[in-house]
Amino acid sequence: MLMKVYLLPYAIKIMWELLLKLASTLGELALPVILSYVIDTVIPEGNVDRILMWGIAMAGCAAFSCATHIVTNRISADVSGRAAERIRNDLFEKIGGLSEERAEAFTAPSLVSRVTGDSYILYDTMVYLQRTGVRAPIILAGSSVFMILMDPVLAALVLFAAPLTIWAAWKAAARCVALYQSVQEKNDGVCGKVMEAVTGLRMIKVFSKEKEESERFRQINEDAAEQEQKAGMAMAVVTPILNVCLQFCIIFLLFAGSLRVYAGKLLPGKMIAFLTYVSLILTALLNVSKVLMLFSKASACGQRIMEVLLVSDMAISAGRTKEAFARKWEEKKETGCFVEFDRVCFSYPFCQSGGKAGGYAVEDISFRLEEGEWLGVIGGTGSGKTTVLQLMMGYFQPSRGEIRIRGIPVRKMESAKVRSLFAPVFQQDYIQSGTLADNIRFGREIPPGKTEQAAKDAQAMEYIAGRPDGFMFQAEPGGKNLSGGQKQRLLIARALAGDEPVFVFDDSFSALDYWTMRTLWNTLRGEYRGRAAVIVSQRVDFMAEMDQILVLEAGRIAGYGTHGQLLKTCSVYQELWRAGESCGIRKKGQG
Amino acid sequence: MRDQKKGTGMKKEGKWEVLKRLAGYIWDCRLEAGQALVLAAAANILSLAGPLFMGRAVDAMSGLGAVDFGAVFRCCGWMAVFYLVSGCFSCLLSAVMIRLSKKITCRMRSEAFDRLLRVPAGYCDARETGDILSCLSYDINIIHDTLSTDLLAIITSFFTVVISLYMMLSISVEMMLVFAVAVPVSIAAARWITLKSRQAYREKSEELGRLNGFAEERIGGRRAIQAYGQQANVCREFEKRNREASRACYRAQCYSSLSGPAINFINNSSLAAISVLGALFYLSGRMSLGAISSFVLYSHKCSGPVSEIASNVSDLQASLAAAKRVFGLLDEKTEQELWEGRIGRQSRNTKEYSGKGIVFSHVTFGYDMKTSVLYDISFQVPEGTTTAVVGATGSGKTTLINLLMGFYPCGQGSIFMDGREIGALSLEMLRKTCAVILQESWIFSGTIYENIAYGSSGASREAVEEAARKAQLHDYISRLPDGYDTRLGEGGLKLSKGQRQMVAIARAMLSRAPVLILDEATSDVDIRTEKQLQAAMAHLAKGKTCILIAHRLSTVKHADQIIVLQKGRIAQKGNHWQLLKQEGPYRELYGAYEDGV
Repeated sequence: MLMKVYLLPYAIKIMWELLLKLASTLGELALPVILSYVIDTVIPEGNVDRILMWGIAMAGCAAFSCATHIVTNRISADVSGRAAERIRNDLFEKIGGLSEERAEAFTAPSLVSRVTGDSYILYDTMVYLQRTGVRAPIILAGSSVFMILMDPVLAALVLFAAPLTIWAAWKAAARCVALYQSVQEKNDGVCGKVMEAVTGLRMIKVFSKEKEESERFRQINEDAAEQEQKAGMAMAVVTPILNVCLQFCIIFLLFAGSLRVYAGKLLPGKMIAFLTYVSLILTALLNVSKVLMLFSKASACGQRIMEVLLVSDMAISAGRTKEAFARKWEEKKETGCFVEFDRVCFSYPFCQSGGKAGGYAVEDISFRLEEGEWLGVIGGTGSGKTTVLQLMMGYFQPSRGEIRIRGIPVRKMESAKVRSLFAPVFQQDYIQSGTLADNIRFGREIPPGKTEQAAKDAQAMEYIAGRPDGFMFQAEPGGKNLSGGQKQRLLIARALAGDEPVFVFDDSFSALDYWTMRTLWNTLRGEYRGRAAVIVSQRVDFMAEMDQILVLEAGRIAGYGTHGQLLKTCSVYQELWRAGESCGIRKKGQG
Repeated sequence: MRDQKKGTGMKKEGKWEVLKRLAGYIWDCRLEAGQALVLAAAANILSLAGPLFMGRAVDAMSGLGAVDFGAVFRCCGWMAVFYLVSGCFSCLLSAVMIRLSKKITCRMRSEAFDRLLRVPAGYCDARETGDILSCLSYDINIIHDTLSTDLLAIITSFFTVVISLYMMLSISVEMMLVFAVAVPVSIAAARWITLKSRQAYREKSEELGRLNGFAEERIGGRRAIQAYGQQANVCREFEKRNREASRACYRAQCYSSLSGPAINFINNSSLAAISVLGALFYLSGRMSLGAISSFVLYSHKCSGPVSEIASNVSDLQASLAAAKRVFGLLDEKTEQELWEGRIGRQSRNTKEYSGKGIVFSHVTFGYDMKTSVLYDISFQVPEGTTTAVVGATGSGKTTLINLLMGFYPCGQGSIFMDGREIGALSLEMLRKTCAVILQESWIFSGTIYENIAYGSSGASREAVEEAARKAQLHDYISRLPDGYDTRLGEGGLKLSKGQRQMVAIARAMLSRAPVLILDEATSDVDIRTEKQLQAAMAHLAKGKTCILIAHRLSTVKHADQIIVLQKGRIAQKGNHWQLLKQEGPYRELYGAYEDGV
């Protein structure tokens, strides 16, 4: 199914390929017929010249066959390669747009293995199908035709057994599809464990758990290997059984043939040809069973890929037409309200949200973010701060209530448009392998002057300037060669460099010390006032300077207002403020 | 750039060394290997007797009314028996080969994983996870496929060819001469193709590895990519690399696909020659029809295997390339070896910690040859005291911890733990002595109980709950439907950053190690929780030798000693009060926060 869809565009090439393959295989199949003709007709004449002539004819067939095979092999490699390339592209694109929960449900290692591993198996199978998978049936059909032409009765007797064996092989292969799917799943588990170990390598060493982890891995490994063994055995039995069936065909042929010769209905030369053809059929049937085996393995892979391609709930959604939207967008600028949450409730559909009583991760959230306003969001761990940010940026749709951006409901807007309004720095963010400059630009069209300015403002120049290659310094995947604070500043620079109207910082200052933090804060409040901001942070002293503060507790709003108001009215805020004092986060005299 | 990342242990291995090593693995399973050889020989000999009997049967049928039915029946009977037995042997053979291959690859994978855990931390830092993963999964899978199917095919084909050639020789020496030419020509052609395709295969392997690494990185960063609307750009980049990989695959295929048709051509031409010769010999009465038919059948048996061997040999190329990568990993020096190389033979010193504290002595270090991160660091942490390390981000604080834990050997200078240089201690001993909480808390797929009890295997349920209570996590866990048995990690419950840190704190609380190392341990926890944790942390630190890296004044204030790092050097040393009196970075920062001074 998957392969059919992707190979369809190359239908003409494939047709041509099939025709050539047909011609070349027929060329090969002609050889036993020619031989039998030579034995039965030419030899009795005793004409050596004619024998030689037929010999040359046979050699000619062989050469033609070889040349066309090479051409068809190239075509099959080309076609399969392109189809596989397109499958990978489509799959990768689709994965890039998956919603968070979907992607989490699939798990990242499984997705990666589908893009590279499963697609490769499909590619391999497509190539094999186009070669052996085409050649074998042609040999089967061609041999049968030649046999029927030579002696219909004998041919019928011999060919009687063939459909049965094909059916049996098909059944065996079908059983193996299921087995191979579970093999792939186990392999995913192995991959997951490896990735886990690589990320947690330091902790494993710190706790000297190398032996234990090795042992644990050995179990998972054994498990996966057992499963593979089972599947392999199921496949492997098919060939010998087929072999025996067909060999018994030959025995039967000999027996029936002897009767026909006795009755004078069959010449010995034809007998030799028959034996040759049956041998060929045997080899072809073996190849067919091999093809079926590969096919079943590829089927499992194809299904895994289809699973992803058919996902309908995506993080990307289409919205209104661009023109109508653009008009409305400009009108609404006058109202002054940028983001509005209107009694929003939300619960995560797939993942557990951690046992909240009401079932909602956040409940009854209402607030407004004006143009150019700075909103602070604070609350205890697990109070729903990140959830609110994700809802605001359009990653999820609220279960109840509405979120509006400039008066337009978010669910009516294109997700890409929603996201283009925000410049976020997440809690666990992503540094790509590449230069520091690339990480700041992150694919957007930003002039180098602006990148430098953003880096300066984010207090990142201190370490960038210190390096000999400066902005051209190559960050390793995940930013492994940068410290926690350096990474955060780089990410902040990324958010500052563009011109998105709102930045969103989700606890992005945790690794920064006071010196850096204060300077950064002053710069932000000084240079970036034109843009709105939503900031989640533990630093209550900085939060106090925000225009509005949203206090969350267990998924609900505990307070919403300015610092002064909240200090008087909100008990949660007061508690947090006091806690900040004792933790030495703020001056005693402050507030 | 990629070449610079080659590990310390990678020897220049040629094809033969790799083969020898693989053979070594097979030798360890010699029982199965031996069984396989015997079964292969038996199965093939029996099934190859077939054409001989067929020839005899054909000879028994001369023409109208002239058929020796007795001979025909005898031939058929023998064939039936031989074929059945051969079939059974084939099944057994497959079973043995699959088991053999499973044993070998399972072992290889376990060994590779084990080695991965024992190499220095820098090995993984310098590589993309995708590449490492590719080595352990994709490469070993190729080896498995080769061993279980291709190797079997090669052995079977080899037997078939040898036995067929022998049979043909016994029928007619002259006709055999045709094959005496054909077989070497086939082999020569196969070798030429192999040579050309080896380079192509290597490139294919590399390109696919690169594509894998790219996909893995971008899929991991999909949130940020979506957030900044970069999907289109990233997809375009992927398409470019995908194209490169496809091209490499195509080139490899082009070469490998030459072998089939070429060998077929040689075989079919031989068939033409045999047919002509056979006809001539029959004409001159030197060969019977049956002999010709047997010969033709044997030649057919021969042709299949030779092309089979040729195509399998190119698969063997791919798996040799894969095996080389795997052996590359297996040859990497472990941490132990690296340290032994630097300090000299490690003492098997496993004496318990005797409380002499930690000493840094003129330590200078840089992650790469060019830049140093720490310069001439010297300080002491006496037994039972707490030392705080502060400094701007990037000043080298985490590097101190990396060195103390033995993740990297120092460039110059030494670190002494308990009076002994840490290189002289076994790494296990060194790390058992320290309880560590790092900046990024690691959660693995396992239950909450397992995650907390990680460092202290055998900790009781009560002890774990107590630790969780102190880490302010117990209430949250008890509200979960599965409580402490809730699964974390991939596909399980996702904890917030703060909660993960609390798990790490609980882990440390269970540990009885005399030294405590905290690297910004409460940075991600909200301040209300942190206040509650303070009491627990104080309790945790009591009596232990502590090194902590922190920003919060409250923790730093009570330390017995504070080290202020600036750009990799110690700028100030002393306790809180002393440092406040001095001019310097410490006062700049914390002076404003002091009560009433």
